[in-house]
Amino acid sequence: MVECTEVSKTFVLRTNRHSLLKERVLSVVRPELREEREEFWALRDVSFTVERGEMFGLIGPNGAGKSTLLRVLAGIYQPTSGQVRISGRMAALLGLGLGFHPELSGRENIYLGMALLGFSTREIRQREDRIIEFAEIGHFIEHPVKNYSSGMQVRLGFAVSLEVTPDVFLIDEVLAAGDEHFRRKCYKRLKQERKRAGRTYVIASHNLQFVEKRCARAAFLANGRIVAVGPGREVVERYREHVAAEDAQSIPSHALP
Amino acid sequence: MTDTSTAARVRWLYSYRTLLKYLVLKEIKVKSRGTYLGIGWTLLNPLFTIVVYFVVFRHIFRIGMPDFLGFFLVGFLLWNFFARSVTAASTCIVENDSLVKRAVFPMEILPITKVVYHLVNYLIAFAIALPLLVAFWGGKLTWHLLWVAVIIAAFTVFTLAIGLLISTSGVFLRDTRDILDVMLPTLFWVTPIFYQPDMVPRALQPVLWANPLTTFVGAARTAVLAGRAPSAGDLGLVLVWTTVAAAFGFLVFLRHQPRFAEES
Repeated sequence: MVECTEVSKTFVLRTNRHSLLKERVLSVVRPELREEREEFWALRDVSFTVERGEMFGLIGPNGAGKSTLLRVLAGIYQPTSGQVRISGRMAALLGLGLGFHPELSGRENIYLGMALLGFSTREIRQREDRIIEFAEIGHFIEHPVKNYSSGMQVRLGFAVSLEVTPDVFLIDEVLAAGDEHFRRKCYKRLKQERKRAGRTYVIASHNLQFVEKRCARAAFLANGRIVAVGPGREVVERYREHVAAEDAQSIPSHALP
Repeated sequence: MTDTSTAARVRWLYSYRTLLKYLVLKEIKVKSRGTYLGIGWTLLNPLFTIVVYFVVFRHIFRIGMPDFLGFFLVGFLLWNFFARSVTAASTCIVENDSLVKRAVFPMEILPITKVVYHLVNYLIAFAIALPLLVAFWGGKLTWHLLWVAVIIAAFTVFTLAIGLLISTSGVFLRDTRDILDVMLPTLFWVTPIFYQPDMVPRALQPVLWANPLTTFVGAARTAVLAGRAPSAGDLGLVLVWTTVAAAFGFLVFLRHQPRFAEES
């Protein structure tokens, strides 16, 4: 179960950002160099609950705060205020590959990625063939990952993270880069696992059909706030209306016939 | 921090030992891949260093002190280990932002990786130098040589502690690396590597002994070159420096680590 209660996250945006010691020292004597801090609310009072075994969608335009929210849920960012409670083991897949190193081969990256997820060498050895098979990488597995297409990287990253058996799985957009065949295969696998193990998913996605069809519930995020939470179909509907309204506003009138 | 949370943290860190192994292997592979000699460089690099200093001190810059080369190498190899580890640690968090921003793991693994990688290089260099030291340059083959292992172990913990501090600093001050590039050469000359501590004027002695490296280098020299156990005073100081640095290093790192993902 995932419980997110009034979570806010602010980032300090700094113009003249002082990440150099020289600048910090100089700004004492020369006030015009002093850094200007501006608070940016990436998330504001976000509350929702995801029940055990539920597939929960997060939708919203770019920059709405979906990735930040997933990072807060994962414990990578500390929330500025509010609380996150996750019961059970949690795993996260946030972006292409799990910190894959481009110079290393696919196989070497499997070992590194699995170790990052907390597996031992013996456990990795037991699983590596299955990973390679699921990712459909073939003989490329011995080649450096820098020669992989982004689709291949996603496939390998996803195949690795499927080996974790968390109770809660956070996924950020990553499936978008896979092809149709692989995407279907993944969704099927996710569905099976959800039914079998009662696993909970929180998935940020731009694939509205997916959220509509597969997510029992979803949240629509814009500018760090929740606009709507509820059944996937209704939330997607709200989002579509929102996008249509924005489009209508932004198209200049002289462009209309 | 309470005792239980420290213990839990250490247990968590220990459960990621496989990650440490593959990160160190990655470091070794990435450095050697695509190079003509590959892994051979880890052997050739220290060998060349030793040969160069042999030629310099034996045939060009002749120094009256007997067995100067041995005296110099014991200190110099330790110094290289320290300086390279700390320099690598200064950028290790920012460099690995793809891991830091995506995964939940004990981030101290990143500076530990750098220190372990340079420890491996140091041990290889020392293994090459030791027989030469014993055969030609004043090393004494006695049981007291085992004290070197103790000194190296303590020095590794000390180096790691400084590495943790420097890696934390590297996240918030991006010129940490540049500051080190200026500070390390100064520290080099404040450490008795090229000279004996008693050559330093009385007025400057406190500066020399305020530098922890002086004690480590001195204790290692006693074990290798004098064939004696390091003095109780030296061993006590080694223990104090190591414990204080380790406590301080981990404390600072753990306190700032929750902000690494958003700052790197």
